[in-house]
Amino acid sequence: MTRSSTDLGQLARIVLLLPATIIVVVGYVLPSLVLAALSFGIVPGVWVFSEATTSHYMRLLGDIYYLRVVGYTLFLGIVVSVLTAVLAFPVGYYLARSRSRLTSLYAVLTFTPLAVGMNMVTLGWMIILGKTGFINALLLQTGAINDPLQLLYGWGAVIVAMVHVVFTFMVLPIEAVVRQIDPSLEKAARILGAGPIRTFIEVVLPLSLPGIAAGFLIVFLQVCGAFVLPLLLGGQGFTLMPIAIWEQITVSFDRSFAATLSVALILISIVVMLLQMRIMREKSLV
Amino acid sequence: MTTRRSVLKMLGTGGALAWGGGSLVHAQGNSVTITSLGGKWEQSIREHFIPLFKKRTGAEVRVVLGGPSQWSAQIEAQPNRPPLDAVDNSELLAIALKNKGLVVKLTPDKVPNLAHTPDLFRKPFDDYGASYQDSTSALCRNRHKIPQEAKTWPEFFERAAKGEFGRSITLPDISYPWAPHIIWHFATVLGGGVDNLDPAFEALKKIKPYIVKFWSTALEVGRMVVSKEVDIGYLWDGRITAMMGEKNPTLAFNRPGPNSLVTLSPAQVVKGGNEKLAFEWVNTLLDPEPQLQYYKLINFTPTNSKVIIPDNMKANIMPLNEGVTPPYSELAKVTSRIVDRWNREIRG
Repeated sequence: MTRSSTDLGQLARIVLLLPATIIVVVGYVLPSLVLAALSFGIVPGVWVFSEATTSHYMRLLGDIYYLRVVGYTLFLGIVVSVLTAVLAFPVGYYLARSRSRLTSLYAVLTFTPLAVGMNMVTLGWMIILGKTGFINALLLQTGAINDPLQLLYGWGAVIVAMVHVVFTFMVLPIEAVVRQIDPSLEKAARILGAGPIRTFIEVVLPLSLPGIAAGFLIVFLQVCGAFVLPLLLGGQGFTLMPIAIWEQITVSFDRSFAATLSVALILISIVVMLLQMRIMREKSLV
Repeated sequence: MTTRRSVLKMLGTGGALAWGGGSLVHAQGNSVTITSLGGKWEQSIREHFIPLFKKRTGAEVRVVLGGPSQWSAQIEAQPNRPPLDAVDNSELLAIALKNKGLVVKLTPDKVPNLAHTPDLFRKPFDDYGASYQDSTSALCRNRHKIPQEAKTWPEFFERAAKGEFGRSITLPDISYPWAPHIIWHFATVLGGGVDNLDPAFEALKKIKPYIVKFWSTALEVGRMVVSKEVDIGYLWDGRITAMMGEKNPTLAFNRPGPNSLVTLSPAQVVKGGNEKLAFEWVNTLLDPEPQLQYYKLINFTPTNSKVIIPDNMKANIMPLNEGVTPPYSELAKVTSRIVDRWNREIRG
């Protein structure tokens, strides 16, 4: 290969990568740097680095209220991810394995939360779980209860609606991975005497882990960053990080502390991502 | 040959251009960049105010949708080259922009409609902003479930704490930007003030078991009342009267005494922008003609004393002497503490 064709190849690669690089640099790297600077009290536009302070980070780490907010956010992320994985696995498995004509219908149904969006799903659950909503009406009509239950505005409503919103993000990677698993492996396990449960636990599940892990990560990050749904369906006893960030910006007008909370949220996402990659690598799943 | 260094140089140049090039939305010659909330607010700005402004000036208007926090941050980030010429602000952010020297004082020679705008809507901002609308604190209720209105705020808290309304109340959450104003108002009507917010927090703690939800957006209240999630809730009068009528025959409202909290939307002229057109824009916002149309659409009260309110809507307007505004500068100093206290005592 001549020198000029190598240069041309390099140039083509750079040209192809340029749009994505610009988007990443302008859309993510620069704003993240500005956010990080603001979290240390450096005002963008003024840029007085001598005024940098770690006081906002000390406040976050030293205040039990904000540590609890971080804890609630992680708790919701983990609970929703686990529940979604449990519920989405049978659907993903069915979509990958079944030859029924109904699979396309199931696939469309699986995509509906993604198609209508988080806000519409939130409104839908408000109608279903409300005092005059579907569930209460059903329970009242059947005589199971005398007074409507308070189903909205708490952990339950947030978790149920959140699982619904992120369901697609878990089904798709699971389906993709299950599709790659050779069905003859399951047959071999059955022929060798393993029951369906043992086959699932010792063959299908370990081979599906990359899909579950990918879905888990996407769902966890989506849940940790969710704002509208917890704001509208959540109760007064707990706050999540996106809402705390919103409060600092719009009520306290403390943009530096809001930036600190945002940086903490980004760091949590990065740590979870790195942790997942490490586990996957250790288990030789990637 | 394209080297790594040359690519980095290119990226650096592009970044510098993006950084120094200023905002995509920026004041220019015969155009003015203004702000608006979305929804009906934007509709009114485009249908009622902009046509009159264009007729008077021949200038183009660019509308930046969003909220006061975003607009103030944009102005503060580029003080020498503000991306906005006029801003439709919240009270505390209006004071902050004034204190930072980022907005210009309004005067009757530049904004003639200022002369017909009562002090209540201008003086809290020392004329560095003037509100073209106001709304006042009120209670909406299901008249069948709660036939007898609470005549005063202390009466409301007393009856609520006794459980008279049941677990069917909704009040604003601290995540609502005007929550500190409301807490101040509760404190004052219960015997406290900006230096003593204890009465408000004590009263809120007592009625907390009866709260279905502390709402974060005003839109939630309407939905909660209409869908019978709650029987009584705190909301601005304009929003309640907009919901009342044939569609919601069970809905009633009143403004408990001894006074009502007034919220304002001060319009400000940004320093260093297209000030001449911005003054004219603020003057248009304060004009009686579009203000009346705005009122008919949104039900938030116009502030120009020359506006002739139709007879069928007069009853919804609060007499000015019944309204109070917080001492904004003092309130701004304690806002962070109010948020912290709420988080510990109400959420904790």
